[in-house]
Amino acid sequence: MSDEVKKFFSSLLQKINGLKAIIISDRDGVPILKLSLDGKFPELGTKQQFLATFTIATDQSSKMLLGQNKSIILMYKSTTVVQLNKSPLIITFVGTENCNTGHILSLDNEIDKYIGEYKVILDRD
Amino acid sequence: MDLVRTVVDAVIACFNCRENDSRSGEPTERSALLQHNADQRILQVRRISENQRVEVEYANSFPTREKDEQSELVKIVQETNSNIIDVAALDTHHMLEQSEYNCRVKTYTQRLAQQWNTIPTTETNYNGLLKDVANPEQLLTTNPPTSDDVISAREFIKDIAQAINDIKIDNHEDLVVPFQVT
Amino acid sequence: MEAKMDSILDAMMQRDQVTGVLIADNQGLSCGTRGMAHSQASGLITEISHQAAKIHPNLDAPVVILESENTSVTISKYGPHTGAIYKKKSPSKK
Repeated sequence: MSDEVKKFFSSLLQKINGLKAIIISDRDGVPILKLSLDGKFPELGTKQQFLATFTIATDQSSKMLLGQNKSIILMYKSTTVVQLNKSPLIITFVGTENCNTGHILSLDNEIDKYIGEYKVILDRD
Repeated sequence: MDLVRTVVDAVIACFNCRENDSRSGEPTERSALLQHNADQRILQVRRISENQRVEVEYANSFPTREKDEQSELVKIVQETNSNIIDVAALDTHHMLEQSEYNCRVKTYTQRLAQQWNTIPTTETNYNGLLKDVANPEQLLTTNPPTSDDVISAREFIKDIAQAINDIKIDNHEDLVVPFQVT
Repeated sequence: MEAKMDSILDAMMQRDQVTGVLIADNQGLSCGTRGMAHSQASGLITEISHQAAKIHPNLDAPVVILESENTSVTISKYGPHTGAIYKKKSPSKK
């Protein structure tokens, strides 16, 4: 199963145009799984501090009476970062500025099928 | 003379009452309607000031003890705190200690490795091409798209692209609006 | 504002056999949908047209037609925008 999960996320790196890295981490930004296209990780999007900021941002933005926040897209000059709120996990996609954001968002439901075992790891605390 | 009579009457009545009291507990036409303890309660109630009376009547909805008041206040503070959208909180960096970071990474990799060993790997079945199509021959023998289709599609997207480029956002309302202020 | 785009989309929906229309931007985010087109598909549709465009990078992006048993999806691209037209298939002449 786990192999399959890794394969699934690696295949996403190949499939999605402009996607550079995928990081599955806990709420404090500690990575559980890190995958990248070329073995290198872009500086900004993979730092623990940066990943953890999402936790605060998603918590705060859930208070706007629009329901629970699901995802946050950050568009920089040369980088796009999409973060999905899969409590207790954060899934971070780092890509180029032309990255296919719509494709990443549409994978939301499919990802749910695969991350179950990562959630179990965190639940054991 | 009249005065003396009424006084004597009253004394007799008093004696009768005492007689009743000294009798067994069963009520007669002369026994007091309100028992002794009930009298006391009335007196107590009268003694309680107006403020306290409110407290007694609405005891359920009123924090009577100071401790309850405290917890109620704490609850209100917490609720307000959780409802406030704290933009300033975004600025505080939640940096984990390096040692804790390393420790967590280690436990996560260990647990993953454990899990990978316990869960049997299932073989993935690759779907063949056109496996989910009932009658592939029917699909493959349909007419090819006409050039009209292609041209209309090209024109359509050209129009749309132009329309989207024409989109301009005009600001009519205030940029800052009160949000959920009561 | 987007009234012009809406009117073009509505006009397309009025055409024969058209059951859905979708417009997406370069990042695969949906700009507008009509009928049976689902905004979740915008990413995939953009991806298909991007990949197809790589075949001949010097030419304009090609029109891609996906066919299934009873629906066809015509994907076209112009500049940063990608459009998809869902059509009910006409019975084939034999």
